[in-house]
Amino acid sequence: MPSDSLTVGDVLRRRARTRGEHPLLVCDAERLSYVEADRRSAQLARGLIALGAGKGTHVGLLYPNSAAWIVGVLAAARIGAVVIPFSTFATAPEITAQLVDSDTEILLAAASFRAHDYRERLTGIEAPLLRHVLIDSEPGHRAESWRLEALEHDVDESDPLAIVYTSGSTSAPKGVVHTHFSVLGHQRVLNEIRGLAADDKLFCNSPFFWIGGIAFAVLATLLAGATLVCSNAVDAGETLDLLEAEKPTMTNGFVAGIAHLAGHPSLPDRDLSSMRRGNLYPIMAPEVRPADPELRHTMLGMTEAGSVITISEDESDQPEHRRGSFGRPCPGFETKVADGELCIRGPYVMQRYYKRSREECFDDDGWFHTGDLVRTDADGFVYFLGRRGAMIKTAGANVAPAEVERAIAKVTGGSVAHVLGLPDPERGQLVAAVVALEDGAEFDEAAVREQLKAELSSYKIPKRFAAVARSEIPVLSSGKVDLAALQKVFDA
Amino acid sequence: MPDTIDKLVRVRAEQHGDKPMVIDTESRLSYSELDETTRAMAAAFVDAGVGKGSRVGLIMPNCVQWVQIAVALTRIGAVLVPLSTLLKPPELLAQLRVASVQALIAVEEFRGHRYVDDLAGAVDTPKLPALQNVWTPAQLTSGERNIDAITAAVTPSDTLVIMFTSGSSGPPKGVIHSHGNALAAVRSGLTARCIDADTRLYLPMPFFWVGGFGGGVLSALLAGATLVTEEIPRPETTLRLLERELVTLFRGWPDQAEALARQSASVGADLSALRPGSLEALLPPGLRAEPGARAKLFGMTESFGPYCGYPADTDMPRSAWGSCGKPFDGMQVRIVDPDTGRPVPAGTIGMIQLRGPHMLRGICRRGHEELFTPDGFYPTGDLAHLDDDGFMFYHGRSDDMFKVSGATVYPSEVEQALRTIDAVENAFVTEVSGAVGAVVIADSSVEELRGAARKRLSAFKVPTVWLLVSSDDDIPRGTTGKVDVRRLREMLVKTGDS
Repeated sequence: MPSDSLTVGDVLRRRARTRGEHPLLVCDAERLSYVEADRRSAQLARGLIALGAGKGTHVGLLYPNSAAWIVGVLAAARIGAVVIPFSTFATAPEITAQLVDSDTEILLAAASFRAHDYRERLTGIEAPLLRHVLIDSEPGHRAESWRLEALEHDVDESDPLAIVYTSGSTSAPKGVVHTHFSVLGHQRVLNEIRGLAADDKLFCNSPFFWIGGIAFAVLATLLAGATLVCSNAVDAGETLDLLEAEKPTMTNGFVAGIAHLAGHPSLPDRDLSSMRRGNLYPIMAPEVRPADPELRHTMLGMTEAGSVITISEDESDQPEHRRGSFGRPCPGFETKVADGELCIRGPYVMQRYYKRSREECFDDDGWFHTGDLVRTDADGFVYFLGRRGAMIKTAGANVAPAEVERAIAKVTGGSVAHVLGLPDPERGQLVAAVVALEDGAEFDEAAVREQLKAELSSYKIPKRFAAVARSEIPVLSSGKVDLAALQKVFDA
Repeated sequence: MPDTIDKLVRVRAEQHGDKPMVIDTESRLSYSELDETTRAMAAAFVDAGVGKGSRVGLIMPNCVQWVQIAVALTRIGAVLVPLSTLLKPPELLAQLRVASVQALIAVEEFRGHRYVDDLAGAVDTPKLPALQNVWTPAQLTSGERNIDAITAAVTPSDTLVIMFTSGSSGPPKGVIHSHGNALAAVRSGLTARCIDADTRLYLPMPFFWVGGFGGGVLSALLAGATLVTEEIPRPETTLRLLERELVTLFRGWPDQAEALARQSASVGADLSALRPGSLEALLPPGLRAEPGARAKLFGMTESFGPYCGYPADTDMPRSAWGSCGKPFDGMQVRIVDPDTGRPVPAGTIGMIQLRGPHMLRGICRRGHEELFTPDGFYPTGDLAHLDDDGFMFYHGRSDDMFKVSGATVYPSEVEQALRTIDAVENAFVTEVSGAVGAVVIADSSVEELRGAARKRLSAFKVPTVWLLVSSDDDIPRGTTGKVDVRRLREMLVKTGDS
């Protein structure tokens, strides 16, 4: 096996050697160093081998962001087993469906997390191929260490590493198969672009079980030899304490997920000056926060692409004509726009959806149709217009919800709006917008409507508006907005 | 159409319950017996820890039990890794490693090979990290558990088999096929191979190669036909088997058919059940076709058997004689310039690239991008041209082509041209120190041949080094009957006429 081989096991061994006691993870009070990660995952791996696991065994993982999650992923990956992350939000029927679809044979789970009692939720669950469920415990026996070593050397870059489920906002969740190379090769390129290096500390609020967690946070950090900082604290003050103490240098994740931090009364007194790069602007050093987030490049990504497809190394404010840019395609992706839809191919794209042939996932020429409608400008920057199915068709014209949402954000100084199509007997669909209000805020529909005239063609301006408290916006267990439920706001 | 082994076996057991699915010299197994015995065997495999995705090696000569083991494993989604009975110990070790075989089923002894003894020093050592169990077929048991929920988890996209190519150069190539692609590939060739539910097919090809597993076992299952096979074909026993089992279709090797034909009179076997589509030598003269009129089926392990052909009982149009027929439905064939990779027009020789739902899913330890072009074609290394009607003419391996003063020479193209000369019985062409060399079986002179060749070939393709021989006995051949190009070249260097 060449020394620069891109398998998780090889990267882990190299990092344990070069980074030693340096922390790989700081999660609230918990710390996991590189040598600890190596030692603990080797121990668990030997237990898994004793259960009969090896190359190709499907190992499910149901843990919140934690050292246990990382140890589980490393243990499975180093023996060539395939990791299947489960969402901590998942209900019993959702867990069962994923266990069955993914052919999970061994499930490693936490007993509980926050209000979720997994021990209870997993009681009586059955799936045809499920042989072992280990709740906050390790197998009772461990195989000899030579077996672990031999199996590790047998793992290949082209072996599947994980089946990551899409969150399925519009259809049933699909298991996306990625290899060691498709994930690590991709993250190696992305680390270069985002400048994630060994002396960095990355604060991330993405759940590890989604692609932005397992790939763009956990494995990217491992590859860089850096430190990942995360928090499960319910009290925002504790998370802010952690950030002040640990001094992350970079941030990544969902801005919506740090609203409670950004809105915390102690924020103005906090020293968060260490966080200078990334995209969680509201909690970053004040002098690096953008005046207008729409003038910074954001990123476009998806599970099928193994996280990020378009990105920019330039983190500065962009000129007005580049408003809303998502950056340029990451090297390694071949891209084209067909009928407005972004299509991708190349070594970092998934192998296929689990239980579907490649022919069912890609077109004849090997392109994956992302479902994302985009346009590109003369400089090659990509602009997201909306999801293919979400396009609103009103009186023969197409309206991209994302475009309208951005315009509303601009004229209201940052309000989050969700734009959707309502059935309409005359026009086919009507453009409608639900604006999420912060506590105590008010919404002046007439004023917004007037200002939008300067931003949008008249057919794109919502015919109907509704204002709802942010906490009242219906959300799916995936964290995405439940558009079907949102539509009911207009039923009254 | 059922597109997993399990669904197929269930459907066939319902349709053809009592019909024999496979017959060897010792035993026979009906479709319903196949269903029942493999359920029980599969249940025991599950009890022993074998499950979906487990890779299980099988070393066994052709017999009824080979089929049972293969079906039992693949019904529950385990991956069958058929291994050649001809493998020497280091080769066996290499293939077990490449495919990460986790359980091995091997006969104790076959034709002097003692496979398990050969592996004694490697089992349970880092030499075979994945291997957990070794069983002999006699040790396999029956289980009681219901396997329905487990078989229902298997989908057409799941891996069915890892087949090693017989190619001898380079590291062993374990070709990965799914239930869906393998069954679709075999199904696409059934009509051309004249196999239907009434067929009683004799096939001596070893099951561990695609010609035996796809061309025999899966063909019979898909057509609802009966497969007749034997461990070691010998003319006398084979003739008796053909007669006893009323075999309708003989798809063995041509030289085997000829040997059988020579002996059939003295053995007195009645082969009147044989139908057209069988190898010619065994058919009565009235049913034989003219040379070249029938397609030479063409395929490879990566395409899971033939992907190109023409009904075996029908003459092709005159213009297509000597061709391999047309690509089967579902197979996309593209001929490209070997240097640039760009498609070439009809009539031009180039490399065959293949794409479509019948093709391999991958090769062990190789990434998808290493194997396929960005637009999904598999470069085969075979040379051919398509004519205007879409018939494909084979021109050898691309390893055989060579350049003379910068221009590409395809030995098979030159050979075919030389064979059209009246005095020439056969011709073999290869590169000799940067020139075109030809060994020709002919009653003629080099001068005459060179003159005739100039009328048929562009100047740079006309051989400049010649060697005339009187019979095929002078042609160096390897054990499989293939011409030994290295020795051919030596002959030309030593005694050729420039």
